[in-house]
Amino acid sequence: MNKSNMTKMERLQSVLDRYGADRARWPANEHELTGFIKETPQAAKFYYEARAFDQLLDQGALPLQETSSDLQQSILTDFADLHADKDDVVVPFLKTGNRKLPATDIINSWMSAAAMAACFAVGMYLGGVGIGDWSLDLATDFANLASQTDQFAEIADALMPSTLEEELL
Amino acid sequence: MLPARSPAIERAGSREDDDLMRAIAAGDQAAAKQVVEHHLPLLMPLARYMLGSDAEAEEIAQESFLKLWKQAKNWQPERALIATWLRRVASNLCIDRLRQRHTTAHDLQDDLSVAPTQQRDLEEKHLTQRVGQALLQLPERQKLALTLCHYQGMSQKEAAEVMEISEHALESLLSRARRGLKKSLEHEWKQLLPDRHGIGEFGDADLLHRVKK
Repeated sequence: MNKSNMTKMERLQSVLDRYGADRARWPANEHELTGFIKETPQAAKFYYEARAFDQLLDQGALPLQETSSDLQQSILTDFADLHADKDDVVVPFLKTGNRKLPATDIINSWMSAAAMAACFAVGMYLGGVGIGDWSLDLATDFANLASQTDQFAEIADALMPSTLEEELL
Repeated sequence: MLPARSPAIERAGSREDDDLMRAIAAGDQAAAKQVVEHHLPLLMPLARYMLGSDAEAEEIAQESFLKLWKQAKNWQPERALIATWLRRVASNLCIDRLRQRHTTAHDLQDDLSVAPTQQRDLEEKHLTQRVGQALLQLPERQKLALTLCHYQGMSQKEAAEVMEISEHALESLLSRARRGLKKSLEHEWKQLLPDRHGIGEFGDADLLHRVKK
């Protein structure tokens, strides 16, 4: 075998190893090897062997099965569950314009965020001012507020029975 | 029966993948059903070849679709087809599962069901099981490469995309897989040679005719 044929034989073996004997799968530039197979008994032998091996692989193919309707249903149930869960999720900030939430969820999420921001601001204020000088004033304010609250409570107690009685009557 | 070549490039019905994924992200049940009906029959055999178990293949298929549902809102249509994406996810799940378990191929092969309606004779069934066992004993990535290209009918380019490797690397895997199987199944494939004694003399007229074309 001359050098050119040796090279072609190596190419053929490589192609058969990678693609098998199905020439439709061979790269276009390797189709010229068909002539070499025809002319060279050793090349034809390799080709026959690769074809026999392909046939064996085909015989090892698993039988086709109908897709289970139960499996299909389970997969679609997963899908439904996932989208049912999504309705319950409160997303505080919308990242894209595509996601739509009910108006109440949006208001609630902003109220929560506003409350957190207010707490943060008060905390910063208290931390910055210090509580030494004004703590007494604050205590006095609380005491006044408590007494006013008590007064309000007394007034409310006085009014409430009559209101209830009126409603009952 | 093996699938027609390159099913991965088929699109699900008449709607493009990105339209379907947009609909799925919006919770469209009909779109989800369409994708399942089209892709589940392609996904199941892949997992069955990889794992050798019908039950596990079903779990892999279900898990793959669940990932697809979750991925829908972040879908980037220009990056992959649904078929490629699903196969990639299923392949990775199969490889994870194979790495987790160290069960022998023989034990698993017994779990594969051969449809009784097909009335295969005992010899053919034995051959199928023998090939199946040899396939299961291949290293996982060689097995995946061969499954995608030979049994799933994908082109090298598509299979490389599923496996996220270069075509050259895929060809190397294929080459090693075929050589390994050829060695372990030598007795079986030699039985299928057209003419064992006259092989060097072009004994097979039909083959010769096709080669000459």
